[in-house]
Amino acid sequence: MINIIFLILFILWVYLLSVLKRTKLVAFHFILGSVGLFLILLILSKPVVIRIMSQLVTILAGAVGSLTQTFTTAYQYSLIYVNTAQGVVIMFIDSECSGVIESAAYIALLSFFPLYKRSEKQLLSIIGVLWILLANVLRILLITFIVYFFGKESFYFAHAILGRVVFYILTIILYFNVFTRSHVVKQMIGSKAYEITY
Amino acid sequence: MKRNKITIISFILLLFSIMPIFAQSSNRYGIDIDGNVEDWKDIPKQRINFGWDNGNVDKEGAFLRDGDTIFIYIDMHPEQRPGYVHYYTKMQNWGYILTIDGVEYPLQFVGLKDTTLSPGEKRDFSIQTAYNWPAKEIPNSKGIVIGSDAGGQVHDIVEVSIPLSFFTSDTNGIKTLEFKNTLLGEQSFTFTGTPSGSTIIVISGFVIATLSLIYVYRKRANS
Repeated sequence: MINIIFLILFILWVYLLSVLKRTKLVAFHFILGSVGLFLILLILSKPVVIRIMSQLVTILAGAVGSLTQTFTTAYQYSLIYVNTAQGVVIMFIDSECSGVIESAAYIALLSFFPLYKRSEKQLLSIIGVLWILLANVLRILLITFIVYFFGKESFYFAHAILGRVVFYILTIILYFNVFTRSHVVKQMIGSKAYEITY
Repeated sequence: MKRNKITIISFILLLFSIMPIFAQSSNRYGIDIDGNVEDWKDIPKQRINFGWDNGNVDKEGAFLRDGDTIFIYIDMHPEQRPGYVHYYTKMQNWGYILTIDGVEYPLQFVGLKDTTLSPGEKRDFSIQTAYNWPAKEIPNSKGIVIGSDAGGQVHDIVEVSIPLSFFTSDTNGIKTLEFKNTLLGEQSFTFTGTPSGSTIIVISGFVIATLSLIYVYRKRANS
C-alpha cells in the first residue's frame, strides 16, 4: 500500500517539475526538485547505501585507530570500540552518523541548481560526497581521540559540541564554495555564469 | 538527454514498486539466544576485572543494541592462565545495572543454578528489574546460562536479550545505554550513537543554495 502512495507521489512530483520547467519558474523548480530528490534519495538509500557508508566510515576511521592503537572497530557491524579507564565506549555508526543524509541533501541541491552544467554537477557531486565522507571521518576521529585521552565522561562534549561544530563548519564550507562563492567570483570577473542549465 | 531522464525515472519507479519502504532490518548481529554462543564469535569482547587484583580474575563480556533489543554476553572465565585457577566461575546473578539515558535499572538473573554448570549443560533463566519494588520479570526477555570447559576450567557463560520497550515506549529516542556490574569488575559498557546533527546542516545547505540562486538572478535581472 505504502509503495503505491509513493509511486503516485513520485509521478506527481515528476509532473509538477515538468510544469515548472515549461513555465520557467526557476526558483520553484529548484525548491520542489531538490526537496523531492532529497526524500527519494533518503528512501532509496535504505538499507544498502546506509550500510555501505556506515561501514566505509568505520573502516576509514578504524585504519587511523589501528595505526595509532587508540581504538578498534567491528566494521561489519559499524561499531567502534574505545577503551577507557572506566570501561568501553561502543559507538554505533548508524544512518544518522554515516553522512548519508548530508550527502543526499548535497546531491539533491546540486542536481537542481541551475547555474552549473551537467559535467560540472557530476564532478562536484563526487568531490562533495568525498568531502562529506572525510569530514565525517574526521568528526568520528575527534570524538574517539577525546574519549580515549580524556575518558568516557568527555563523550558528550566531544560528540554533541566539538564533533558537530567541526563537521558543521566543514560542510558549510563545501556548501558555500559550491553554491555561493564560485558564482560571486564569476560575477565579479564578468563570466557567463548565469546560463540556466536545468 | 531525454532518454536518460526517462531511464532514471523508470528505474526509480521500479525501485518504489519492489523495495520495502521504511523496512527495518532485525537483529543485524545474527544473535539467537539459544544456548549456542558461536554467534557471538565475531563480536568484540571486553575484559571485566578489578584493577586491585591485577586482572587475575578475568571475565569478559559484550553489550550490543539492535533497535528495540539489547544483547548481553558474559563469560566468567575466558582463559586459563598457566598455574592459576580462579574460583569465580559461577555466573553472578545480581548487581547488574542497566542505565538508559541516565536512568538506572537494577537487573538480576533469576533461576541460575547454585553451582557452576557442567560442560554442555544449559539452563533458561528469567531477567527481573527492581526499578520499582517488588522486582518484576521483564516480559519477552530471554536468558540462557551454558556450562563450558573452554580454556581448561569449567565455568558459566550467559547470553541474554532484553526488549527496551519494557523501559520506555519511545525506544527510538534512546541515545545512550550503559551496562555494568561492579561485583564482576570496574568496567562498564556504554553503547551510543553519534548523530551528526544533520537537520541543521540540511537546512543550512538549502538556505545557502536558495539565497545564492535568488542573489544571482536578481543581479542578472538588474543588469
